[in-house]
Amino acid sequence: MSFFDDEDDDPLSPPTRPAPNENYGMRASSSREGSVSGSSSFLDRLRSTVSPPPAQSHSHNERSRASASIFDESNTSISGREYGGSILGEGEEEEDGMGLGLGLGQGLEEEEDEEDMNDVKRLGKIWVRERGTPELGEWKGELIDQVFDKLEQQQKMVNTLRSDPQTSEEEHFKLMLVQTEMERVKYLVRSYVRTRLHKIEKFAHHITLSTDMHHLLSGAELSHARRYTELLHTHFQHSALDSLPEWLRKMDDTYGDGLSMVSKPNRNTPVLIYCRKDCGEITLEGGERAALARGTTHLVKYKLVDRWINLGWAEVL
Amino acid sequence: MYGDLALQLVTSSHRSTLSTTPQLPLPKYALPLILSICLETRQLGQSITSAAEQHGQVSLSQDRSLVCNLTVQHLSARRNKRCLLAYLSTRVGGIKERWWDSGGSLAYLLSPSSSSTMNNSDPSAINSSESESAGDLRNNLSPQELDFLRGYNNLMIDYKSDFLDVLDLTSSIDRPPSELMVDVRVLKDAGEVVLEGGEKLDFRKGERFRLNRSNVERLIVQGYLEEV
Repeated sequence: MSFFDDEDDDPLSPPTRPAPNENYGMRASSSREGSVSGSSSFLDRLRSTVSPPPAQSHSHNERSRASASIFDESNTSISGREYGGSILGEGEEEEDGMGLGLGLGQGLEEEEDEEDMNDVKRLGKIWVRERGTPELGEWKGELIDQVFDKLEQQQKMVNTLRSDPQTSEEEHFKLMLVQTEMERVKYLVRSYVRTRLHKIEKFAHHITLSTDMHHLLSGAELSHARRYTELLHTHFQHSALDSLPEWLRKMDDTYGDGLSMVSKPNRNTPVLIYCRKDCGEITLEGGERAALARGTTHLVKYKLVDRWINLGWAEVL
Repeated sequence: MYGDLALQLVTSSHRSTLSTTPQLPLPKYALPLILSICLETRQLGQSITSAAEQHGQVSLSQDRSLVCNLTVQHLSARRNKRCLLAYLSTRVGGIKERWWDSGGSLAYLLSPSSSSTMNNSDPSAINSSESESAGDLRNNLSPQELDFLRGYNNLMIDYKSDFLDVLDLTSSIDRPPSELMVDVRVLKDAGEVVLEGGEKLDFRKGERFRLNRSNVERLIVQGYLEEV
């Protein structure tokens, strides 16, 4: 167990907490009583950064069931979120969430609504939201940074444990699960960032023109949008516009029918939402009114519900 | 008729986007067509200015046939511009798609040699069409598009460098990773490759390995390795 000692100054790793992990260790390795406490302490630390609190997984299951009854296909998009859950989570259902890492606690207080969320869950959420809405969402730099920090820590820990000759076969297997989980978290981040990039490039000109959108982007994204617009326009100028009459060379014309050359997000895109709270009534295009009651799922135009989505009262599926 | 050429351009461009799976090679840049459209538009522009000058302000409000004539010409010119830009931006989309598909590797995307070696080693239909698109891409792009691709490449390198210490943005996002390890077969010699852990591996054609996926993702994307 000496190899755990050098990591004790790690801020995220709690001091030895034997209680919550006993059954996990037992299940995984009934034959090696001797090192159970050791493996539980390293699992503790690993888990403190990767896996979700079990409480969330229960409420989540209920919710996916509820929405599935209304709209079956929503399962497919929900699975994307469920996917944020840990593989380690399989063995965790019986535990009460009390043993989870200290690192999680700090992030939770910021969001009153989402007490039971850890970083990965939240990442999954914003990822689904970013993919579901036509408009660019806010850049969650803080969350991404946190996730990156944890990934890095995790990687260090995995490296230490992997190179340690005392690590047993079963622990190696667990490490593999942890690494797979890390790959999956990385996939989430990658997909999130690339979804944003896709939107940014699509509406690059619009974004650079409208300053009120700039706070939604990270610095790197904003400069990417600017430079991309420039690059694209240079390309268009050189390829075709330069050979046209002068009055046709602009890139921000508006056509006679009111169609602008600067493409904007189509706010009429339908989105599938799940109401976490009572969102009152909305008036549909035909003058019809529809109630957005708590716990219901709706397919509506984005512009009708963007307020609730931004408030977090409604979730995009 | 005004606009016929532009229509031709847009229809062909539309047709080329219809069959994206399997991805067809990017069609050759339609330079002659584009030049003639530009010419037509310039002629339209000249004819508009000369007509307006000849008749002056006064007749413009009285002569309805002149107004009609000018409007039609004006609209045709604008339409031509719009078609040109639509064509270009569709191609830009295709170019970007190929850049991402190749894992963000400009050298691989533009190297003509990759197609010939690929064809010899693996005659299967999908692979050869992919390699053709990779190999011929340079020929099918206009010089301006090549510039764009280079610029885009630089832009993305800048952007992804922020993330590079933790993850590679350009690796595939087709589906979430389900396994850590992957079985691969070497399709063509890749020489000696240093993996993340510091170990060296010599990839020779026909050999099989079981490796960490994140280590060899890029080689799979570029067609050196094949998943088994």
